[in-house]
Amino acid sequence: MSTIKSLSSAARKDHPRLRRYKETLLYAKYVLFHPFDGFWDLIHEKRGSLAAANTFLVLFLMTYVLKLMYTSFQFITAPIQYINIYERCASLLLPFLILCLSNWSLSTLFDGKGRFKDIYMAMCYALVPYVIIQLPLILISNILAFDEGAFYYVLISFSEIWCLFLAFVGLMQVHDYGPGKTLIFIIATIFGALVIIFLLLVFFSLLSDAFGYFASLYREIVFRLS
Amino acid sequence: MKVKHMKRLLALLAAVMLLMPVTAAFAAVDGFTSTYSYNYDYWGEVRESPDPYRVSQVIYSKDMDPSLALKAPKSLFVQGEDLYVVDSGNNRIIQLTRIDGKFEFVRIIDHVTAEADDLAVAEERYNAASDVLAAATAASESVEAVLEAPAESIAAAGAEKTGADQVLQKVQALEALTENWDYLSEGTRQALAEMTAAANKAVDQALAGYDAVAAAAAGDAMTGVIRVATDADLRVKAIVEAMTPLTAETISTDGALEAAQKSKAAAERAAEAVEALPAELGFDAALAAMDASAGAAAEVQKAASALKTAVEADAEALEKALQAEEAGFPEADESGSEPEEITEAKARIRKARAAAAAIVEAAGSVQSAADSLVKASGENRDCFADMVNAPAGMAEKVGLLEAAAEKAFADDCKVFAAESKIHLYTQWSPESEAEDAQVVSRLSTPGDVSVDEEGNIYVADTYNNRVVKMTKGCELIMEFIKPADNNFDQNQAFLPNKIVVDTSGRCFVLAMNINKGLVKFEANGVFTGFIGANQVNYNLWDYIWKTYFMTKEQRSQQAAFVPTEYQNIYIDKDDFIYATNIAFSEYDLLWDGAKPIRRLNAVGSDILIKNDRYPPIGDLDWVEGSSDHGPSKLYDITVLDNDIYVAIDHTRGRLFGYDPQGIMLWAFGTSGVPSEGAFNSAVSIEHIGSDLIVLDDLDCSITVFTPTDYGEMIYEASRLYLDGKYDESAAKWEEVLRDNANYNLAFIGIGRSKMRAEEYEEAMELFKMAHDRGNYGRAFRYYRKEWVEKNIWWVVLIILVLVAYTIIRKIIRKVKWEVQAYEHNKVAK
Repeated sequence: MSTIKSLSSAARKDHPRLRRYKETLLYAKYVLFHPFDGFWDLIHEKRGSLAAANTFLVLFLMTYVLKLMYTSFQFITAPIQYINIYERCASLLLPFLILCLSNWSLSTLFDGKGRFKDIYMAMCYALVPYVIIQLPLILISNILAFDEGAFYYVLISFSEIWCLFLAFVGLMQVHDYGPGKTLIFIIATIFGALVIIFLLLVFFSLLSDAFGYFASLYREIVFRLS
Repeated sequence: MKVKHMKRLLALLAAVMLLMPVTAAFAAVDGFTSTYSYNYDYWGEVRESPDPYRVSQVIYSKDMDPSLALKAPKSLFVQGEDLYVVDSGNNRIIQLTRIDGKFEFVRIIDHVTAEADDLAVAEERYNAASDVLAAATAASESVEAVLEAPAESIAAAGAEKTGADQVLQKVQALEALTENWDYLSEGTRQALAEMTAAANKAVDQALAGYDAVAAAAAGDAMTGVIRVATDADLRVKAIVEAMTPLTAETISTDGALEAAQKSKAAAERAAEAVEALPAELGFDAALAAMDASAGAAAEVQKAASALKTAVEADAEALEKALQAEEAGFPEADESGSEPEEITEAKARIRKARAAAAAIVEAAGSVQSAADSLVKASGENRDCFADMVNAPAGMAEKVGLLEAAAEKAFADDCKVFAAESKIHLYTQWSPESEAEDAQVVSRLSTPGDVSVDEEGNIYVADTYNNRVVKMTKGCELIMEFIKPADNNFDQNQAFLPNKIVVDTSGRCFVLAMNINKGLVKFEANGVFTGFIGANQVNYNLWDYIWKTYFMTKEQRSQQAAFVPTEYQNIYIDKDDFIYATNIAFSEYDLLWDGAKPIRRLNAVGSDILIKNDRYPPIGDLDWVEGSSDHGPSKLYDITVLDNDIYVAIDHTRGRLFGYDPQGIMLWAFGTSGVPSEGAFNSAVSIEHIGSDLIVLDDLDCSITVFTPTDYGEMIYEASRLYLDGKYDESAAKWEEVLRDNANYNLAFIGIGRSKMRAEEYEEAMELFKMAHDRGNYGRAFRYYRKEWVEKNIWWVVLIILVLVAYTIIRKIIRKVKWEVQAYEHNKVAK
């Protein structure tokens, strides 16, 4: 007890970065309930930190994985035997990053105030409701019967709607846009993300073609020489 | 700092991207493993399973007698142990029967004969028509009697009157005779007087009676009766006229239907008219008059007979006196001369005798006149009674006529039979007649056959544009031909391809190029509409594209949004029609938009139960990339007696068994490989008991499958479950599990039994394995309840501890704070 106390007091006194990390983590609470002020201050008053944002993203992925693994099977149709955690995480993380990237690319061109870091941070803070609602729900799902599922699904939907709302407000505040413009940019962002994915695919296929070319060249040479 | 973060992010991105293909490679599900028997698990993955069926016999056309070789066979049908193979290319149906598990050839059905039953039907129709005719004739007679009765009655009354007059005349004549006759006794005189009085009275009464009858016959009631009778007369005569040609030996039945219908209508209307007859005719006065007249006549008769007796007595007395007088006469001498007085006396005696004889004769004629008066009076009464009763008789006869007509034309069947007989004759070609006098028509590319319990055979005789119903002996009963109904497109040929017949003889026909559903015929051959039309299949995107982005020309070249035809139909023992459908867009299948298997109720709605995760669509894995890829095309379906249905897939030659809940029991079969149990082009499936029979139209083979022990176990377990023997069923399912550890139905079956035994934890475990959420939830509720009941003390205890902990913590903090404050104050001081 005393050691923990001394550690935490040490952190308060001796490690300002640790203290700031803790503060930025706890700031999420303010963001959740006061999204407009919260996101504005998060970026413009430097009340958030990248470390906290990364933490939230990791927590989000963790929640997702735990949800797949430990939610009662009555409420989730996940083929546990076929689940590949990396694949699942990547399939969430990549779109997330690509959407951030696409949004940044577009908003930079149209006098958005946010930098990539700001966008990323806002988006990560917007994921917090998912974690704080769905993590307990994993436990709750295991004491609910199938026909009481409505309770579960309502909470799930609530968390998702909250996340989307936060993301929307976050983008609005980060770029200092109006709601209409934000909406248009969200749509544009989705198209932008598709373009990025297309470019990546082209890039990878060209890359594999190039590799294939060299590989066959090598095989040909080996064949001729031997 | 910022740049550093960006770099880190990009590195992360790159790492993840490199990781992706690696994980993807791990995650790649290995391809479709080619197995003969399998099941789909909850995730739609193929799970190998033991064979539920094994091949028990294969009948190859090439091994058969050359005369029996199949050519483009289309369909199978089973009734009892008999298997009917529709050998479409040879225009015939081959009947086989199963003896000791092997199919043996029975006969070929390739023609319809006209004799026997056709004639029986014709005869029946003839008899019915004759009955109608007889009834109509009788009715006509009774109607005529009604019409004639008044005149007859008046005539009879007239006759009575005449009779009375005659009696009077005779009496007067007698009186005239007796006037100067001295021998008349006092009694006779009195009798004569009585007689005269009676005769006068009779004349009066007869006159009154005549007037009464005439009045009754011309009265309102009788006029009404006559009007009704005249009306009925017309109708009944029309019936007689219409029915006479129908019953003639030469059948000219072009207007048979018309005549029959007309007759029926006429009979009904005649009956209606007759019902309008006055209930009470009110002939009391006439009857009273007639009674009086009859009484008078009787009196006359009595008086006449008394008079006659008296006159005779007188005559006898006179005769005696005369004889006595004669006896007093001396014997005549030889000369023959007599004394004058004697001669006078003799002459007087002769005269007296003649007079007496004339009087007696006159009295006799009076009596006979009186007799005939009584008779006339009786006749008059009878005629009047006839007149009174004739309407009732007419009503009865017309009622009988209506009944006969009702019977004869109750269902238009008989008339149709008559029509089909005409049809028969038109089909009768000289060649066939020469070949076999009995054959009236041959089958032309039959598409399907159905046989009812009584052995009547129904054939979808496609290119004869008919469904023909015949007896066991191929004798024509009737034909279902193109309906002359506006609902049926008259420009289109009626090409029946598949038929099913329900237990009451209704016939459901799947006709080519008809997309309104199944053509439904009642047992008597009347078309009663379409049922179960396939829904129009298109999606929103197609619709928008076609409506807004295509030119008119493009649109007109494209097929319209029309409902598709069914591929095949089957009728189960409860008269539900199972239909399969192979025209759909592939991706409608998984979302249950295509409904390749349907169960149609009497009004044609789909009531197939689908309680599995996937609808019954055959294969879930469409083997992309192979030559026979694509969704299953379910060409035929059969329903076993336990409501398990088996559909056959033409794409890959597989059979899919589903239980009544729509859960796949098993799938097996393969195509391409030339071996037993593999199909090139499976087109039809049937069953005998739980044996399955599959027809292949390219191999021209019939494959018979018998359930293995494993297949039997599944059937047995589900049967036991349906019978409510849950524990026995569970025991069977355990056995199934021993053979196939991936069998979801077995887990559910055992789970249910466990749940009934209140072993909820085990039940949950089993339901979880089968991914049965509903049952799991139910078991879980019980489990949770039990758990809470058992652990309630712990729960309470933990809550108490938590509460106590927080309270104690608060107190400790407060004390600490007080101590600190105290210290602080002390320091400050």
